[in-house]
Amino acid sequence: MAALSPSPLSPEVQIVVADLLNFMEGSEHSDVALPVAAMKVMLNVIKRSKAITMTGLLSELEAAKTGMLGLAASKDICGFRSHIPLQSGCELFMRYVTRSFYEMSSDFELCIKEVLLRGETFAGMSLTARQSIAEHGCEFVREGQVILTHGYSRVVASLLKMAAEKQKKNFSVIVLEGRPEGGGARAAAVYAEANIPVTVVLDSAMGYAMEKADLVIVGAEGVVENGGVVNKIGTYALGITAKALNTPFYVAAESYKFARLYPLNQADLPRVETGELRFADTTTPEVEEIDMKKDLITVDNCVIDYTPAKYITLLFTDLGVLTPSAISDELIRLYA
Amino acid sequence: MSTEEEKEAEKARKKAEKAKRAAEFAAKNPNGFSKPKEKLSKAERRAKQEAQRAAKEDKKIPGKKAPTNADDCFADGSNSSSQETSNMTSNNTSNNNANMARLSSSPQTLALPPPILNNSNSNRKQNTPPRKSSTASNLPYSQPPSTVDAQSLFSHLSPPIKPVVTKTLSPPPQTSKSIHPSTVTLCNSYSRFSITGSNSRCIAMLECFKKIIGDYEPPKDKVMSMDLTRVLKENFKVITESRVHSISMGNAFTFLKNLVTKIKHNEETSAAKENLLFAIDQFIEKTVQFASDVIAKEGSTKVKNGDVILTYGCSTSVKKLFAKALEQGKDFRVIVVDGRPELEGKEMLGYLQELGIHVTYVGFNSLSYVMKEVSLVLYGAAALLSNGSVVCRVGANGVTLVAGAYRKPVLVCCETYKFSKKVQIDAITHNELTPQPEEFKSEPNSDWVGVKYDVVGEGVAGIVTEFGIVPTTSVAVILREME
Repeated sequence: MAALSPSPLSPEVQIVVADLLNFMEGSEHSDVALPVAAMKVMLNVIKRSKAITMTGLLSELEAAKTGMLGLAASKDICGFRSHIPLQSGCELFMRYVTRSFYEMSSDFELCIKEVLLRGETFAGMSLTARQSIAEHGCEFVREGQVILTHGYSRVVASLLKMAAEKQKKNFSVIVLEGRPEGGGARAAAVYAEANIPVTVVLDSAMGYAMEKADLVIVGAEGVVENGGVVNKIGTYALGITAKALNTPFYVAAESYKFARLYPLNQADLPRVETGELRFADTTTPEVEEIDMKKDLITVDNCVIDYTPAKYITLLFTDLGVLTPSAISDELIRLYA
Repeated sequence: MSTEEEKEAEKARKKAEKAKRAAEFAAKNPNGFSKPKEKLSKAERRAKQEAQRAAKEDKKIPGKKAPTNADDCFADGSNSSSQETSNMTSNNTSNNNANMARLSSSPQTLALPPPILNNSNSNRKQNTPPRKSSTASNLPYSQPPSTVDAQSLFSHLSPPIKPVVTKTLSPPPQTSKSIHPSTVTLCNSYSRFSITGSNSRCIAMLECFKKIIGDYEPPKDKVMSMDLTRVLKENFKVITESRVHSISMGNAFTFLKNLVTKIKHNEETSAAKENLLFAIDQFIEKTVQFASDVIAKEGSTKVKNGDVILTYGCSTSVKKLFAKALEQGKDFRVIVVDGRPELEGKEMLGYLQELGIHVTYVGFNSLSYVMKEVSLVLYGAAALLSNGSVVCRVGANGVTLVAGAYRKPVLVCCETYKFSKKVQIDAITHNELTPQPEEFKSEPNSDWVGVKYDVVGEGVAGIVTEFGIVPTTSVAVILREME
């Protein structure tokens, strides 16, 4: 996997990495998503580039991408998330550049000018994409409903806030606490701020809480080729529970998260380097004393899982509301 | 120019001939093409209708002659019956006649179906009532349907081809001058099942067409593109008569026809032929062979260390996939499942043994036994239909279902040239019947039914194509993109 060697980075890649960290400064609290920050870094690479052919430029962008992924693997800048959106964002950007090149009838100079011009739109892409998704998705939230969600997703939050504030709908939210990073608590604060009543429950209460819920909305780290999603651990179980209880299961994801992955099962996911799973904050303090480093004990801190397409009812994207089978269509159109 | 004048003269001559013939015809037939209609009475019309219906029913029973009048439809096959049965049937016929008289006089009575005849000549089970009797059509209910035996279920398919075991190459009966000797060789290979598998058959057919094109010389007064198309079509027809063509062959032939129609009028023959041969070579190299190399590369990413891969039968792309995974240094083993009577899995077994991959060979019945240790199921396809159904060797559907029951992912390897716009939801509407194996002895009350293809509607996780791995729902999209 992406366990890159700690060899000294080339000066160009060092600039790239510094750039990314710069853009990512406080991104968890800001509205800039990681892939969008990566795309901005790529734009800077193009600005600085001295390449005169498309092949040369693409190899520079490829090197930048590898550098950023290396950073994501070694340092935990993704939070407890995977690097899939970073990778898909970079690949989509490179694909976009290649396509512009062909559209401009293979005129390199013209292509670069066009890309840089349009580059400004990328800056606001996070916000515009989320806005568009919120507009599509808030129609599915109706008066008096109970919405179940998982952890803290900025896309889902903007969707629910739009339904509450702009459309003046009255509904309530149940949020799973989202261990190990506890995003649920943060989400609860955000919803309360928007005057939406919210209940926080344990992750393991998803079966219990599902019968009260009218629908489930979650975000995504990545949307894969067969229409499934890769998201925070627990999403798969949530999908299965929703299907068992005939509850609609919606996923809200921006189109730059469409990844060229085709997982067949959980084991087929790219392995993400994660931090240690600690058993702090339990109601029985003796648990903290237990030595988890014994020989036969393995603590597996898996942070992402794969939810197959059959558990997903619809996907809210900035391209519109899509069925899972339409994702493959979009990807084929983009990459074929 | 002289050729134009000649053409004009030709046209005028033909027109004159046509007028002459029309006049002759008009003289002979004052009514034109339509015959004067006979005026029949209602009873006569009825009788005629029944006779036609009886004849149609009887035609469906194999080896039976059509009865000459309506009465005979009760006496099934009694035209060629033995001594005992003829007495019995004649008795029964008289009974039946009496029945018929009763029936026609009182149509409201709930009459029982006529007595079942014990006829040893037709291959039917004892309890099968005779087919719908047409003279009892004034009954207020319809006859119970005859048991749907396997033969009638597949009766719409052409009968199975018996592999011809002759030492000499026999040309097909009506040979015209345009049938090339290599076509004859190909037909023999197909009908003897010495070439099997959609890729091999397609390549063999294209090689044959290359020879035809190579030896082809356009006649002076004909346009090359149209005449060559005619020659190719005739050869293709003969090939399909030896064995029904596969979808891969059909698509390849369509590709070839499109190429031929694009030959310009003024193009030089040898140059046109060169271009055609080159295009065919490119097709074989890229669309067929290179595609399966890309599929091997894409699919090998799904093979992980410690995996146990199950495969069914034998497929070119799957073989290449295993070789590629081995090349990448992955540690895995293979279980080959085989199906009778063709036992195509033996070829896969031999290939894997040569590569040095650990292989387990099991029969179809052991499927549920081995499935629990499997991590991935892979097999090849004959075709992919636009509703996402996979056409593959018979037995693959069973493998897919068992894999689904054990929650194992199933991947199908299929080159895009095998994609078809057809839609099929079951394996009965279009299929190929297999001939009876030698060890099966024909008995009066038993039938052999074997089919070549299966249609897998669901349960497939993904299709490995040269465009990457795609879900089955995306076949229609790819077909659209390919145009």
